[in-house]
Amino acid sequence: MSDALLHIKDSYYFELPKFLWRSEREGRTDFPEYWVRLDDEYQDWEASEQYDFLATKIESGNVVGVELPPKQKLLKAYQSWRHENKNYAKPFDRFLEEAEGQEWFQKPLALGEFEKQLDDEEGDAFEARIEAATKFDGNQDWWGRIKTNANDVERFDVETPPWSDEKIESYNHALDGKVLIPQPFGTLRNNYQKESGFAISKFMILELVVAAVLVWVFTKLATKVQFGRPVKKKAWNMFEAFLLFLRDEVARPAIGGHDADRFVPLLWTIFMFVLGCNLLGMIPFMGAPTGSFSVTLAMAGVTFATVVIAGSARFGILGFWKNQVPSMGLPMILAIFIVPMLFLIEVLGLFIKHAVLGIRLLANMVAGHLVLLAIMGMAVAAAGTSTWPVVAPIAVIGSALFSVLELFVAFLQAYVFTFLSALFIGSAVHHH
Amino acid sequence: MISFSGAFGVGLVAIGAALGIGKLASAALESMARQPEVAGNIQTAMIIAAALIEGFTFYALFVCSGQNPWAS
Repeated sequence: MSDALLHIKDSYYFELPKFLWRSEREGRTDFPEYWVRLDDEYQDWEASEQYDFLATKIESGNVVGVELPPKQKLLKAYQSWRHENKNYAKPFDRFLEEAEGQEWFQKPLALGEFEKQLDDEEGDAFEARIEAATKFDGNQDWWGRIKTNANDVERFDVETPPWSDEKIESYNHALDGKVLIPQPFGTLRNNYQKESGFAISKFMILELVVAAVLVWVFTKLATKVQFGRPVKKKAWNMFEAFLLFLRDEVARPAIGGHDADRFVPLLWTIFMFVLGCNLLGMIPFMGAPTGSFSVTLAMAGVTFATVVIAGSARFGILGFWKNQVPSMGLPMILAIFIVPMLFLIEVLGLFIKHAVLGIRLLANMVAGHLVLLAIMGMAVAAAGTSTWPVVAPIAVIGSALFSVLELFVAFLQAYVFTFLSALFIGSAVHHH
Repeated sequence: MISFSGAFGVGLVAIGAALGIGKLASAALESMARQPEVAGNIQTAMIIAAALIEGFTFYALFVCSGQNPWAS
């Protein structure tokens, strides 16, 4: 299931048909750094380096209570651990920190032996140990330092013999069709996860593309309608129809006549952006940026911020929260019990409503693509068997029809998101 | 049987959602037949309610499919 999700998940590469973007890398230095770091030859070399560093540190008497097992035994244990399916391509430091038989390491690590202060050490003893330790390297977390020292791809390239041709061939095969996104600001752990820093992902680029298209289209539309002139062609009329629909049927009924015009540009932006992102998911080899939690929850966050700020601007900061509870004219005895409860429920409801706004959008997009994947997966599963001539046309026709439904869902979800945003904003600027 | 809790969950969620949206649709259709001039409004409200129900249905589906013993 999680492998299937990879097509819908965010990634740090763009996918193209394989014959359009062949990977013809020839040597180890041509491959990206994180790719080399996932290679098993590199990981064995790195494990050996980390072991050597660890051994020198422990021998220099800098840490107590850690007995280092012999090198070959530990490396063999690491390799058999790595063979398990879920530990595929995990490096040695994660083996030491996570595997089951490695309590000799995990306990001191948890107790802070590899940093500079023990749990129950008093101030003076701690200062004295820092003094003694600074003579050696002056750094607080030397296990972290060992990890970064051993993580040296250039030295690996120089010290070990080059990869065999079959290995390079198989890596090229794996990287065929993947347009890797250059990462000037961060490092990657693998194709789908980042290690540190700010990594640019496919969805980020797609969102920028959607934003650029929207800016271009709507500034052109705005100049066309600038002096009350009617728009002429079909496409511009379509956009104008969308915008008018949103203003007259969504914003004005939900927010009320004279307030609505302030929020209409925001609602337009939300609708168009969500629609653009959803529709990008229909294009092959692109993906739907709204299929990621970060995007949808950020959009919901925008709505939440608008609600709070608009409500606070209308009623004052405290008044906004007081407005959540409707005034019901209860007698004092009942009010003491009921009003706090109501307040709690309303405030909880506020947060939950907005979070569910984001989750609904995400779930619809991901679920639709998942079902599409499942239908095509039937054809893939039948590949090579005798039922394929029957299954394949059904799968293709089913996928095509389902994609039409997906198109409808893209529009519908954008509309629902915008409508609910308008509803929430409306209820924030009106007295209950 | 406990290990199939995900599958049971998905089935229950499907039943719940289908029942709910079915009731919604039947009420909408009935009222559209009674008063055809407001059919447009009713259709809009029906779509919105269906989208809301599906929203948390999908969320529950996600959580349940994560319980699948073969999901990693």
